[in-house]
Amino acid sequence: MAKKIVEHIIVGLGIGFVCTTACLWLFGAYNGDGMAVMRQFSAWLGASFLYGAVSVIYDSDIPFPLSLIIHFTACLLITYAASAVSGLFNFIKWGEWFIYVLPSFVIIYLIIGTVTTLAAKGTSKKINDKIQNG
Amino acid sequence: MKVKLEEADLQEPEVIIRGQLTSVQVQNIVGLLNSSQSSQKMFFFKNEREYLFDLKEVSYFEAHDNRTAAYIGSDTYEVKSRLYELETSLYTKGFVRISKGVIVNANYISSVEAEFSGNYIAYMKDEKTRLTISRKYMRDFRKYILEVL
Repeated sequence: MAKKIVEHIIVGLGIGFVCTTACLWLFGAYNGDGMAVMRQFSAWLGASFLYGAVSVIYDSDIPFPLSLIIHFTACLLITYAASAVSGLFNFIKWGEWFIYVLPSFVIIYLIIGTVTTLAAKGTSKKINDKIQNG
Repeated sequence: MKVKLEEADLQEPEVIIRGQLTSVQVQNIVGLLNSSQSSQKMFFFKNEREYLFDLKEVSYFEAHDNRTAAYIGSDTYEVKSRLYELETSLYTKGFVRISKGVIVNANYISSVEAEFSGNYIAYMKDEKTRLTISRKYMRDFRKYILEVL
């Protein structure tokens, strides 16, 4: 179990960091001195770690719809918390978070879901090729 | 894996394996060679009678209500072993766990299909049976099909 959690955290760090760093560049949401940058960097690093950790829920016996709801909610809360810790609310009001950050979060969540589905299709193709061709 | 067969004037066949001897693949080949010399048969129970079948005839085992059932053709038989015991002992004989309650004979699977839920469906060669490969066991199943089988 511990090995699986570590694997999920590594995947989470990879996906989360790429997405959040891309968003930081794209929206130009931050500027400031070195410490502020470190704070932002650390906040999203922590968030990526947690994104990965909560993904373990997909390896549990919990039915998929419930897993999806829990995972989505947990990721949303992590994103909100990371936004607060990183100092984003110095630049936007908390209510504006739902206008600027929430849509981005939903789009990224859907993209990752699509990529995961395509990867699953690739896996089934590999397995079928092996089953049929030996 | 390269397979090379050579004609030779020997009293009995000789098998030489070269490579990483500690790899899972080599260990499984050795297991298969050893098991081919011993019985591949197993006892099954139905209506208080005992039946002896070759393991190759079993399409899958299913645990339910503290009992383990074996599916052979269109019939169901009871097995005295627990599912986890079968999982270990039949690993080198083509059987792999695909969910909490099912161990499948990989040679009976005709194809697999991904579901949106993250689970996969295994379609069996009888064209009727569909088994769920739970996402929890998918990684091990994938490894088994691609590297061991």
